[in-house]
Amino acid sequence: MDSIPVQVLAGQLLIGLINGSFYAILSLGLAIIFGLLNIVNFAHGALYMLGGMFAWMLLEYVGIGYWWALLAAPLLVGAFGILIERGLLARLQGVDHIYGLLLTFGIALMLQSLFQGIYGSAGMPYSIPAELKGGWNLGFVFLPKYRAWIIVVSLLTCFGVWYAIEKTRLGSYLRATTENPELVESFGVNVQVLIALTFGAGAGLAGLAGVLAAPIYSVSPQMGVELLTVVFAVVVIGGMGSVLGAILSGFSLGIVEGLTKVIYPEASSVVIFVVMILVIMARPAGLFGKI
Amino acid sequence: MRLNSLVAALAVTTMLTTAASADMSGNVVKIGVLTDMSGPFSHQTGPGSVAGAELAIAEIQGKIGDVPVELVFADHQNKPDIALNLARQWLDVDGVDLIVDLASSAVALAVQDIVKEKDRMVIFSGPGTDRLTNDSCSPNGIHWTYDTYATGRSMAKAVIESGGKKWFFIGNDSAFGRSMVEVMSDAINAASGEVVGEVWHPTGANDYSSFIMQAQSSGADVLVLANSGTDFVRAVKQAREFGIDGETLRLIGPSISMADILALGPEDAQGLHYIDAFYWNLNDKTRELTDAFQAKRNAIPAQAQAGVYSAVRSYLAAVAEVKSDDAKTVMEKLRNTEISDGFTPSGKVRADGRMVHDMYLMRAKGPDAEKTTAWDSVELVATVSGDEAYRPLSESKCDLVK
Repeated sequence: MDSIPVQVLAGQLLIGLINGSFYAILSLGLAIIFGLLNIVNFAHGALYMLGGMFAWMLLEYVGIGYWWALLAAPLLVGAFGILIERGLLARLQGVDHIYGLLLTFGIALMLQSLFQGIYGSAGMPYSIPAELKGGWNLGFVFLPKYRAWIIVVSLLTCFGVWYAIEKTRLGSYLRATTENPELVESFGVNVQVLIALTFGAGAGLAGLAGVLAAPIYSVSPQMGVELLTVVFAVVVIGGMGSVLGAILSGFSLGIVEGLTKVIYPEASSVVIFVVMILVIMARPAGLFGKI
Repeated sequence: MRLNSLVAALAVTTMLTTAASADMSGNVVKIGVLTDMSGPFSHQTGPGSVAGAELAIAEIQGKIGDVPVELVFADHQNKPDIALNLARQWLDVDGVDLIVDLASSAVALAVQDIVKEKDRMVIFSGPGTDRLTNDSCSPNGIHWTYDTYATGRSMAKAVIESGGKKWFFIGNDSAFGRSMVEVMSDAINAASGEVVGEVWHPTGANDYSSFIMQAQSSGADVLVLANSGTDFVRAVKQAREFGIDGETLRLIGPSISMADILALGPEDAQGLHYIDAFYWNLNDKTRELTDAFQAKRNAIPAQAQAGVYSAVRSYLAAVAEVKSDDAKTVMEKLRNTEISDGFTPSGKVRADGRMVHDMYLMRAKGPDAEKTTAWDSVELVATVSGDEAYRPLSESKCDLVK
């Protein structure tokens, strides 16, 4: 494209923001899990897929629609996360990161293959709820109602999580646990429950992103695979374990990616990684990370 | 005298035994399905292609005379390097006589060369690129099911005839997507239509909204999705979301399969036109194949999967007839055989390796349409005869026809 009209640019910025919403919710979950539990959760993409799959299964087998699925599917994924944490990850506390990474990677492969074995790879249809069909013509862009909804949900979720961790009593326990679990335990806080709930919450966030994605991306066993690498890059750019960093870099990288799609579409799949390299060179701990 | 008759007897028996197992290398006919078992094309090829081959082998009870037919399959993950290694292993070590399917165009182009070098046979079903029978044709390769020329050009012609003038392409940045866009652009330019823009996305991309917006602001009246599989499904869902209902901006995906239509669901798929090489409800034979396939896979055979069935079936029939699995002999036989089975009522293999057969212009039914079964979600609009659909030999760059 030789010259880019202002309308197109504005439209792409908006679309970037929408995609950034997904990155933000997903990287937020990853950042919480890494920041508080020190686990590099490679099953995050699979948990996201599980959110979409649960939403589809609730509709297909139980007749529960989008709105209840938006609540139920993240809870189910969260519960599943707690099971993983209690049953498997808890046994790896205190050993090197790489074990957690390998374990979660294995879990991801197993989940994806399991669903692929049962449902195939074609993907399942899932419609946008009737209330959010259609959209508004803003002049410079046609904004589908559903995309606007995604931005709203994402901003609220990100703010809520940030607030819970940084401003509440529970959040202060969580932060204290990352610093010194023994000390926190000695104050009578059940650290193990805290860890399990945190992993569950991170998993639930992935599940929420999965439900949000279901109507616009196809629900399929592989839906988390491509996204996972990008989201990891986002977390690294934001600073491993930084909640605010994950949120801000999620949104801004969505925008960067959106702009690349207008200027030079072929580079859109690598631009985030280029940014990652640049950030690591300048600030090895990421934009908001502390060494 | 006694010695002489003994020698003669021996000679006769040797001749008889070699005649029985004829020229079957390794005394087995070995077929390898090389395909995408889990990636973006696996629902239109993959395990279903393996099932197609199994059905064809089961029809002859797994043997030709007393020579067993063996089937192997492998996942090339859509990576040409992996595919080449697997093919080399099959051809050099395992004695595979025929490689089928291939699923992706880039993989197909890589395997075409090595099969020619080793003088075995390859039959392409899943890949779309028309280069396989054009500038990259081979005396050892047949392109069975469809190609970008036939689907792209037939589609372009149909849309131009009904008034499409300005075209925008969202193409998969792959051998398949590139060749599809090239073929269609040629047809559009020839009919004095105009290509107002094209953008390329990598295989497996998640978000198409940026591209869709570019298409909307380009002033095009036809948007072509030159991709397939999950890429296509995602792109259509997002196009619908951004208000592309097919009224002002027509949406077409020339080269998709019915599995994509089912994955979209009737609301999003409604009104989509595409070109298919296989229509399950065409006649008794196609319905019979569909029933047999369903019993195995609980799905309807996609064109490439039905194509693998047909290819393997025809190959085995030719091998049985010439009593040899020698590539040249079997190729020669196939070129002189009329193909008629559950895949196509009438097909013919040309000198350039193109299997020419009828193609079908299909339309996806909407949510309110009458359906006899869940599969009944598409309808036949028109049949395009093979000679009309495929590139005429006079325009071919294949050196086998010069």
